[in-house]
Amino acid sequence: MIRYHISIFILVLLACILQQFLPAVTGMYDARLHILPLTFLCCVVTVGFSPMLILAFLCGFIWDAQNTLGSPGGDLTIYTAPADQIRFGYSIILYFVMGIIMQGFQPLFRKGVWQLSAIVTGFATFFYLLSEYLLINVVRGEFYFPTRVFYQIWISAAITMVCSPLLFFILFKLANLFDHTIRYDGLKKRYFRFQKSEEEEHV
Amino acid sequence: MKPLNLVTLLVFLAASAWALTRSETSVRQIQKGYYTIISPFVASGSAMETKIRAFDDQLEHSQTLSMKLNLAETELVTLSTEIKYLQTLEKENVQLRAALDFKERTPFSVIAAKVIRRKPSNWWETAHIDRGEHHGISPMLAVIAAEGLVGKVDRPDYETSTVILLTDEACQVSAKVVGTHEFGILSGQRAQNGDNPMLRLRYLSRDSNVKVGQKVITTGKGELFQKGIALGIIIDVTRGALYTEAQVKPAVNFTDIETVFVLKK
Repeated sequence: MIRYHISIFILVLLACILQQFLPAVTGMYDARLHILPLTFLCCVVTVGFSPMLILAFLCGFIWDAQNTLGSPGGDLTIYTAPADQIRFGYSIILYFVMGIIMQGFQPLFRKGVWQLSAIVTGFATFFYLLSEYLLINVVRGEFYFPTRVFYQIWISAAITMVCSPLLFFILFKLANLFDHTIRYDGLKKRYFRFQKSEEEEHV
Repeated sequence: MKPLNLVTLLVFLAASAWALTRSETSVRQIQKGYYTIISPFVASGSAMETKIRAFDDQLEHSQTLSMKLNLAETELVTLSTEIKYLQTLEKENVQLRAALDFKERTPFSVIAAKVIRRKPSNWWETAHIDRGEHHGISPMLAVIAAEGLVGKVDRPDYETSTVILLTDEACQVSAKVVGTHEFGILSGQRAQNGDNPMLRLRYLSRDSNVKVGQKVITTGKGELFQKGIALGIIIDVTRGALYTEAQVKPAVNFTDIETVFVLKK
């Protein structure tokens, strides 16, 4: 099990590198494939709560290290209303929330219904980008939500969702390679207890 | 909840609180460390991005040319390709000559740099240039092109730097409308992607006499940008209850920017 967990941490770091090679598509409202969030979302559905927290911290930390801007600088008597920045570390919280959403669908995923998790990755990415944009609006004031932003968010989410089966395929291969079996705990126990009682009623 | 999960959750919350309370200096240290590790990949990534953009451009051209090419013979196709390649070279040559000429005639002390990556993040209008601390770049230096102001250096790393573009909301410039005594703050607008980003010139006086078509330049106030750098042209004026606001078309074409100059103080 530990080898599988190490392998997904390496996969996340590789995704971080790969993200550098993925430009925004100008013709599609600057939408892009978010490979790092996608890798995170696909990985967390295959692991337990604790590894999910570690992954959320790692991905959020990397994302913010990559994107956080510095203070605007300049003479404050001239620049009296500088645009505020979101604090470093906010992405950790957003990744945590996305991780929780994905883990909610873990029982079905472990039952073999990976397709639903693949769809949820799209929704989670949509939620992530929307939250990020709304946070900027909250921090900087003046709520502004043009249609173009909505297109950018949903196209990015759709592109990301389309690529999720490939990530799941890689994860299944890794699980096989490292003899990792998906175990049932938490919500799943309840789910399968419910299934079992239904079957018994049938009999 | 299992004890292990509870412990991890507590550690996670502590680590998140630690990250959220970092000072700007420590955030910069973290970013410096991160970019030192990632910089070889950024360089490769930007090279690939350039190739993709070039391919994209070629694809656009091929759509208009395809009808003509259908009628042409194989030899003509070869010649057209060669001509296209030569045109690219010629365009590049003209740009480099203009850049060289600009460097010679500019009154400022400048460092020439190439844009290696555009808009690496979702909501921030930034670009990476191939000059860093190693070449004498420091934070807050103005970045210009032959046409006008491009932005300012946000974070210099050893070999590369991140430039926050004028089209970003966070890049504010003390600006003056040429031919008037009107001063204001020029900045980008939120979520301004696409080919024609517009700038906002705010805090002009309520009864200002600014008109469409007037030029906007830097005032030199505010310790960030030198005086007299072109910013853009006014395309629309809105008079408010307290201030007048103008829409400004940037002097620089941000979609086609390749060579920039960092102004040394």
